[in-house]
Formats: sequence, C-alpha cells, structure tokens
Amino acid sequence: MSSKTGPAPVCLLDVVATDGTSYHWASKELDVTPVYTGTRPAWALGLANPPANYDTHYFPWLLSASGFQQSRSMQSSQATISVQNISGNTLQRDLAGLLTARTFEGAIFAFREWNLLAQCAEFEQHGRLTVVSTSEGQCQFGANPLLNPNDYDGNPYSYSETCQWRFGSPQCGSTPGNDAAFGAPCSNTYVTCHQRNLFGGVLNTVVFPQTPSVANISANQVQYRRLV
Amino acid sequence: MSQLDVLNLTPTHPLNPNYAFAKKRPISHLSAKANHGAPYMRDVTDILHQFVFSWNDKLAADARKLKRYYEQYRKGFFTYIDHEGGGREFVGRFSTPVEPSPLSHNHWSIQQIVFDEIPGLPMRNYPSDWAQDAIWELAVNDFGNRMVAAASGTWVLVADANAKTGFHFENAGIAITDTATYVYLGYGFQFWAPSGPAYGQAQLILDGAVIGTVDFYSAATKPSSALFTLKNVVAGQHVLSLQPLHTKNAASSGYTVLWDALWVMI
Repeated sequence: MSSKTGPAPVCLLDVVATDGTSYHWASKELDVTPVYTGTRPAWALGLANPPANYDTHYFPWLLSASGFQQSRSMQSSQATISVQNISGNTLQRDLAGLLTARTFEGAIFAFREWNLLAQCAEFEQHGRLTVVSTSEGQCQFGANPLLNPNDYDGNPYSYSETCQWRFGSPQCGSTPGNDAAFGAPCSNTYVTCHQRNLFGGVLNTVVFPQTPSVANISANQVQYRRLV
Repeated sequence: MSQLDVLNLTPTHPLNPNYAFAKKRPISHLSAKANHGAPYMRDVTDILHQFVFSWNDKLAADARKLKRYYEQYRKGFFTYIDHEGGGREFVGRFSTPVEPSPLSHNHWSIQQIVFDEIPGLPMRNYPSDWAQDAIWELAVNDFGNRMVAAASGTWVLVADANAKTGFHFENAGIAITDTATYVYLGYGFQFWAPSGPAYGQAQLILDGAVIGTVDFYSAATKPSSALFTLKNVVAGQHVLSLQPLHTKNAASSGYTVLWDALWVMI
C-alpha cells in the first residue's frame, strides 16, 4: 500500500507467543500504542538501553511483510513476514534465542500499516503465525488469518446409526462384571446394545405412519451406515 | 617453507608488486536493516585481507620465481610483506594462477594476481601497530546494542563514566564459573577496563585456553586502560571469555570484575 506523497507507511507487528510473552517489531523504531500486550520476555532485561515502555516500543526488526489479502469468501491465504536474525551479542542472535526459548508456532499477531502523518493504522490484520524458515540472516513467518478452516480438526468419528465403539472397550463400557451377556457381543446396533447409556451412534427415530404388515418387513437385519 | 618463506624480504626486492595495488577486506559479514532503522551486522566468515597484485615489467627469472610461488604454495602458504604499509606481514597464497605474458625479449608482465590471507596460520611477526590497525570492540556498540554475552552467571550492565561507552558489564566476582564472552574477528587484542579500589581479579580464556589474569584493582578509580595485551594470535575468529577468580588485591575491598572493551588487531 504505497502512497503517492508523504512518508511511506510504517509496518507494525505485535506478536503474543503462546507463553504470553509479547514482542513489538516494526520497519521503523518508534513508540506507538500497541494492539496486543503481554508479558515482557526475559530477553528484554538484558538490553543495554531498554525502552521506557516495552509495550509501546517497536524494535526495527521487521524487514518485509507481504501477501496480506482479504476476501469475502472463506478463502484463506498466508502472508509472509520477514524478521531480521542478525542482532544480538557476539555469541547469540536475539531472534534465534527467542525462537529457541519461546513458541511462535500459533502465536497471535496484529499487523498494521501505520500512517505517520495521520497517526493511525491504514490497514490492520490479525491472525496466527507459523515459522516457515529460519536462516542466518532472517526468519520468515507465515501469517495465517484467524478464520482458517484448514486449521480446524475434523470430527474423528462419522455420524452413523451404528455404534463405533469396539465391544468391551472402555468407551463401550461393557465388562464381564457389569454385563451378564458379555460372552455374546452386540451387533453395534441400538437394539443389540448392552450399555445403551453409552451407545455411540445416532438414534434414528423413524416414524411409520401406518403399521406395516409383517409380510412387508424384511427378516434380515441390516446394519447400514448413513452419513447425515 | 610456510611463514619462513618470504616473497619480498626488502622494499627493493625484485618480487615486490607494482604500486598501486588493491588491498581490500572481502565482505565477511551478514547485515540486515529495516526500512527505517539502524543496521545490524554479524561476522560470518574469517577472511581478513586480500591483495590484487601486478608486476608490470619483470625479467624472465623473476616471472619464473613468481610462478614457482604459485605452484609451490597452492597447497601451503608464504609470507608477503607490505612494505608500503609499514612492513606489516601477511601469510597466505596466490589464489589465481600466475601466468606471465611476454612484453618483449626478457620482459614479462604478470597481472591481477590475487593474494589471499589465510586465517589460523602462524606468522614470523604478528601485527602490532595498534594505533594504525586496531579497532574497538565495545561492550555496548554505537547503536546501543550489548555485544558481550553473559555466557554463564549473572552479569549486569552498569553505567560507568570511566568505561569506553559509558557502560561496563559487571559480575560480583564470587562464582568462579560465571563467564562473560565476546567473539571477535582479528589477531591479538588489548583488554581495556576501568579499575578501582573495590574490584577483584579474573582470568582471561582465549579459545578455551587460559591466557592470563586481569587485576581490576587500583587505589583510585581510573578510566578504562589496557589491563592485558596479547599480540601473538593467529588471524581468525576467536572466543574470548572472562571468569572471576574470587581473588583480589589485598588492598581491594571487593571482588567485582568487569568487561568494558577490546582493542582488536585486524
């Protein structure tokens, strides 16, 4: 988002790692009210010239940020954020130390393009970080939007009228001690279930409008699996 | 052989290259800079010096000697003396082939021959012109970033007008395993620090070997000065550590030890 005149906007990044520590990085060293605050990491205690307020101070570590897209659909795209991995003492890089000590996978972030003239954000996006790659010079984070169906765990079970528990398993609940018919396992149907309070299927309440004649009912028991 | 074989022993030696030749330090660091912010830099290789020589008009015998230096030391190194640079010596080899071109009868030209200094090699005479060549490696650099690491124990930055940058890195001097460490690129170094009546003693460890003791005591508080000097160090990346000894001058009232600055020969 470039402007035709005036100073280029400053990119601001607030990150809250999964342990609650917060980080404020920008493409320009400045003090701005943050979106997110958290616990000040121990790393900050060793700074030669610590900022007056850690939460409002943005360190100039943010090298680039690109690929932020907004969509009306549920389409999700991953932006790329590059942070320098050079600074630090002569023995250890700052960011490498932070990546080792903290968990940035899944860290929540707020990215803003800050208009210096208006002193407000032109663009703001929140999401979660993933560490894409780390090299000698920089670390690339993938920035995923908060609404990302790809992140969701699917239901591990399927909806079915038949029970999915293995007979005698802890989920089934049937044991020789509480089930006199333990020697004759069920057929995973409700009608054959020995522990109906733990039945692991969907009860199908089929209503027959008319009483069918016995001749019309199949004598075969059908175990059918139906996804709903 | 090796450092004892000198290409150009005197300023008038026929194998001295023609002036002016290029003397440069290849890029040996990574750097990163945000759009608006101070740059960060980190040494990642230990290449220090490189020369690009030319010999414009040499007798055939001299051209053959140069070619022999290239062939002999493709798998080794020799000493080159920079007579223009105060007689400082460098050890390395020609990394490009010496291929003399004829100018006329018994006149040969050898152009653009690269001499690469090789780190980690012994020298006849290690560089010692501190005023001309040494650079400051400070506990806190000009951008306000602390460069010395607390490798072990509790070290804190303390404002100190007697320190080179207004800060020194301090340890109480009780635990002898506490360690401050600085990684530098160069040859020898001078260890500079303020001294005073309440300071103790520490040992310096270079690349894992104890090289000496530093006594930070002085009867009156004194600005940073060279408390330890080590000249004969091979070129390259070095890890220098300071560990308190939990000892002190009998007149001292404390054991505190500190890190201020290194003056590193490059």
